[in-house]
Amino acid sequence: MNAAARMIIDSVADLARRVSDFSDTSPKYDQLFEGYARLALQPGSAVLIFAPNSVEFLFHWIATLANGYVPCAIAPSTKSSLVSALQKSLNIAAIVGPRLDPARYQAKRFEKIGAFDVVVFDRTPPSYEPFDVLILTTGTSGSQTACVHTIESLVCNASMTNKTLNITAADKQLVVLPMYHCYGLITQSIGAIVSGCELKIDGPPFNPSRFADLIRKENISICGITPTIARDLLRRGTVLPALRSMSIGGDRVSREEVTSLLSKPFINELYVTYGLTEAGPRVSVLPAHVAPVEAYDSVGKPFSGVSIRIEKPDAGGVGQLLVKTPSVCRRKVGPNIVHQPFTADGFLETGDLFTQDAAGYLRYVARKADILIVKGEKLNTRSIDLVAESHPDVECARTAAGDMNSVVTRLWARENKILDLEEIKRFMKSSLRLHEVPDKIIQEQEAVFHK
Amino acid sequence: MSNIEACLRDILIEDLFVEFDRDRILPTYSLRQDLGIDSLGFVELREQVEKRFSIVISDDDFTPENFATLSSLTSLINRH
Repeated sequence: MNAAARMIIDSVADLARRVSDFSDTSPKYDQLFEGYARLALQPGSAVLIFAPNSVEFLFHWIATLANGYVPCAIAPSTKSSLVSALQKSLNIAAIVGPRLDPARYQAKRFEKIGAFDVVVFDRTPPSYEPFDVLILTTGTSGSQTACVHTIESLVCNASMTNKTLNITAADKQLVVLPMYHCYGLITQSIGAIVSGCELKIDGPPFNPSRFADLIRKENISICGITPTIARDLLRRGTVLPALRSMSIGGDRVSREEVTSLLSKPFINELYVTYGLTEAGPRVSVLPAHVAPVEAYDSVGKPFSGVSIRIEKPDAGGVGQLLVKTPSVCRRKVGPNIVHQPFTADGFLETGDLFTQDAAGYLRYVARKADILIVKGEKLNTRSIDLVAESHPDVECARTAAGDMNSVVTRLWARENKILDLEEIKRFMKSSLRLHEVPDKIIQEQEAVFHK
Repeated sequence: MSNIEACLRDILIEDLFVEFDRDRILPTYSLRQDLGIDSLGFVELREQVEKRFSIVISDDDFTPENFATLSSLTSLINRH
């Protein structure tokens, strides 16, 4: 067992004293560990954890890792059709979560570990190494793809973040972002294990007043939010209790928004971060509270130990950001991965267009065309198109951003049929997560479409 | 089962596509933990409840406590 895995596993007893949520259950880690041992899966078998933010989720995640399995967290709202597809494409050996219905997954073996149900797929060969971790990239790379990280790379990234944001055992961190995404899982939860800080786990629905109350009652010193939540707080004029630091990541933050946030007396330190799952995830940070005003529209400079390069910059200096980081993933997996995003000299291709100024500040310019951010969530338009195209009447689909932060899907019918757009929307809704469901579906004439 | 609870089950299944048989959704099930509703799901649930029951749920009432279970949500609707 490597040092990072040993550190995570050995921290559980201490973590149990430092982490809490708002549920009535108090999971017993030892029972979870033994429950996974009884499953007797082969080392390197992937376990899909299908659960909302909670201490129980975190302990299940660690217990799978400690047994030499490969944890893979997924949004609990994910539809069973996608879960079944992932089970096959990523060679998932077991699915774990509350209230699982084994009939939906056509599995014969059904167990119970702690408060969660477990569906086991016998004869699924292990595709990974013990102490690997799968992080899904449903938003950016398509619905059935994941990064294969090692626990060392995640601990490394969490440590870099802690060091850069000065997070220590004296802090108390509030988790409001989903723990099945990088930020909540790696930056905050694994970060708390590494730093020794306290961790308070909350979950949806998000409510600014409750957020303020929680910070006050729980004596929270640090929290991480998305730009969508930050805009909501600014729009409502929410007054928070004093925070030592607030970090924002996951989408672009404007110069005006950074200025507005810095004007709030309750934010002492404001960090704007950039990252991507493949990088483990954090790459760069702007400590806005000490940065020059002209850098407010940037994502700062790379973490110490991270190298970057702008690939083939155009006349305006715009090119793809390449990153070399000790926390990079080992590889990407999934049925539509035809290219590993690495250069011959070991840089990660981010797929994001950036500039870098003379002072070293990185500025985001654009994302690859098939990725949208809608209602604060990333979505991959190609994944939406594939779901639409699985409808028997649809020949082809193209999804794009519409007006007012909306998603619009244009459809071309088979055999010039008149499409029942409401029925197709219901069909798509049964497979997609809510933020992926198009706000508007339009039928186009065949003559307009060129493959 | 109250009419309100029945209507809430309809919303969960028809609008949020919660993958449960109607009869398996117990009033005490956690919407988040047991039914897997996420942040955008709660936003949709709030909108559908407002539409179907012709009420307005204030931001102060849009809390994990009020949206914990069918029972707590029924109580919130009854208070309007």
